[in-house]
Amino acid sequence: MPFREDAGVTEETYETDQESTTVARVLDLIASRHSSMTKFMDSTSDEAQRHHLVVAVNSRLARLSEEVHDGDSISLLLPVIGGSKE
Amino acid sequence: MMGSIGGYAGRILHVDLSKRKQHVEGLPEGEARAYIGGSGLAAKRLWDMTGKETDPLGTENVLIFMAGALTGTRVPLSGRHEVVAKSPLTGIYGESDVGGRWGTELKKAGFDGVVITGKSAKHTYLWINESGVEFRDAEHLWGLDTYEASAILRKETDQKAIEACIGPAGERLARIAAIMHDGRDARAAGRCGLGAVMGSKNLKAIVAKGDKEVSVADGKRLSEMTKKLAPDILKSTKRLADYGTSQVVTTLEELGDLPVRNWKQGRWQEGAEKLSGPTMAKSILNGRYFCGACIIGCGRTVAVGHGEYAGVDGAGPEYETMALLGSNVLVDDLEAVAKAHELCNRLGLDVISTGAVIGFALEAAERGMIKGDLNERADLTWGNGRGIVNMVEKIGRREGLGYLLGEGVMRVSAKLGAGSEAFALHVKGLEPPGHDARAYNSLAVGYATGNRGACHLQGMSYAFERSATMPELGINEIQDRFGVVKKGELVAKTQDLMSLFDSIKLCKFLLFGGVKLTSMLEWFNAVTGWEISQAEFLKAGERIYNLKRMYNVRCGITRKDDVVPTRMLREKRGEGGSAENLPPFSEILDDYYRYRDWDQNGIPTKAKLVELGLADMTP
Repeated sequence: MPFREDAGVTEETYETDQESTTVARVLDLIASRHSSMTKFMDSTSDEAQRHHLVVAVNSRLARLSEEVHDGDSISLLLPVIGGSKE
Repeated sequence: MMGSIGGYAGRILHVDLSKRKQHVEGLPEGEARAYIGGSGLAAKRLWDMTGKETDPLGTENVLIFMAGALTGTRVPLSGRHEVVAKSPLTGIYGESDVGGRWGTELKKAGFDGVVITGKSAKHTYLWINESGVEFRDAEHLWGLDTYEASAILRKETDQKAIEACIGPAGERLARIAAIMHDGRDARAAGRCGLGAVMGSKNLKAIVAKGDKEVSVADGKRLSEMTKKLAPDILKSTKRLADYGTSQVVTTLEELGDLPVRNWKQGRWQEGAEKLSGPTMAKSILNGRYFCGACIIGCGRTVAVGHGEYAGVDGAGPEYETMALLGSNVLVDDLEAVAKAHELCNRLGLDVISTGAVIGFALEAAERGMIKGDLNERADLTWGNGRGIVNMVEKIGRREGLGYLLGEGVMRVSAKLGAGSEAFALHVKGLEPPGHDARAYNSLAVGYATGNRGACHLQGMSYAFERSATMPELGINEIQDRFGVVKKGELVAKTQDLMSLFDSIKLCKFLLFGGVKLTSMLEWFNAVTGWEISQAEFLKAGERIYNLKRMYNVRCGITRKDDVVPTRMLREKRGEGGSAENLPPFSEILDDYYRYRDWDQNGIPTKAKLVELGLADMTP
């Protein structure tokens, strides 16, 4: 899966001391745990971030400001370029 | 005429195969400015030269190859051209955008385009160079696959020449036949069955080679712009370079976009991983391919050294192949998919339509609708890599059941009847590529109103529901893919934008490199020397899209034909990232017609045609 080799894990659990947090904050947490993932993080805007990776919360594409709640599943996906040579 | 306008050669070559005559038409500047080039200029000629009564496989159809003003320049990702004809698959406007190097060679030979009419009495190929065109005998090439023919053609003309060539599928008039370019590097004009049009004219190949420089009005400005943009393009598309278009197979599987089991199944995680770009990079990948002026190099070259499919050597599978000849038929054997891909390239078949019609046949066989040869029925089982490879070969050579499947999903379904239309996925006869309208609401209307049928590239609106913005079009933030509001407007705007990509000739992957409309236009103005405003540029895109629509209206297309395959409209995927979504189609279509100023029957209003300078185009 995408980013598996960069992070060295296929899935992991994060805990925060708040009931909810944001996608941007989760990305910060991931980057702080896996420095190899820092190069994929750019929280200046949603579009800037999606040039590097796309975040899905419970399979729905999510913005950086979107809230994440206890039990949510977050996927890091490749920027989507479904190509064709025609 | 063109005078000192940069980018354009100012000359269009006309070849009459019946009379074996040629002449050169000067390109009027006003026409170039109104229709830009590539797709736009070719569409205008198709409108002028064919109509409702034209038989797509008859002598009267025309086959048009058209480069753009940027083709052959140093603008990144501009090595492209368009192939246009009335489609034998759909019976309406047909076109295909191609990369590679053929368009660049045509421009360097001194031509913007080639318009082919008539039918040769014997098998022929054309050799285009700076002196014009030579008609050459192709009896010894007829029946050869495109890789074999390419090697001979280069020996007979110039080792640095590039050819557009059909394989046995086009020769035998398969309606899903492609026109292949660049030999073993295999760039395809795949969609709409244009290979059959070429075959119907007894034309095996068009070989091009030139050494003229393509003029650029303001080289300094062009160079400065390119230097400024290139680093961001490279940075943003690094994974595309590393892993090719199939980098996204797993992502799209997760999003519920990837077709699985003839679009019936929601998830296919393990299989998707086996067909992903990173898996290919670790196994059969042996190089990258760059189209003319490309700085990304997303093309794959592969080699299979041993095993059942040993000998595969050349252009490797793209995302669409992984989707239609992999997940759609449940084949997770990468080497089998690579073999099927190579067969499509060699025999001259569109990978999308080929995979789609096989997926349809698998479901029909499962339901007991396909009788006949036991061996063929054995091939028609889900996940049977060898069976799929066998079927691709039969389609390409038009043998056995392959003869029927070469007609495309719409015609096979019509022949089978018995309710098969419920799982026959196509729009106006063109099978959808590997993107699901249940995953992006805008895509439903994009497919329904695509001028060539179910096409993701004529609008690419879904890119703006995932990762792209275009502030110049008022698309300031990424859209909600399951949202409804203003989705019709989004589709119309992006269709007009893509008309410009297809007409100046730029690869749409620049969108993912962060390139915006402003930069596209600045490149165009630097090359041509015109100072076209953004409003005029966008109006040209809208004109081109409406021109093609009017061509289709003239062929009888109305709202009744602007539909989405039943399965995408009524059957939920049931699991995965798009499990519960069904696109609210009618609502978005109404918004689309309203924004376009088309009437409720889907026909552009007189006022709109007048506004676009198309007032004389009545159905």
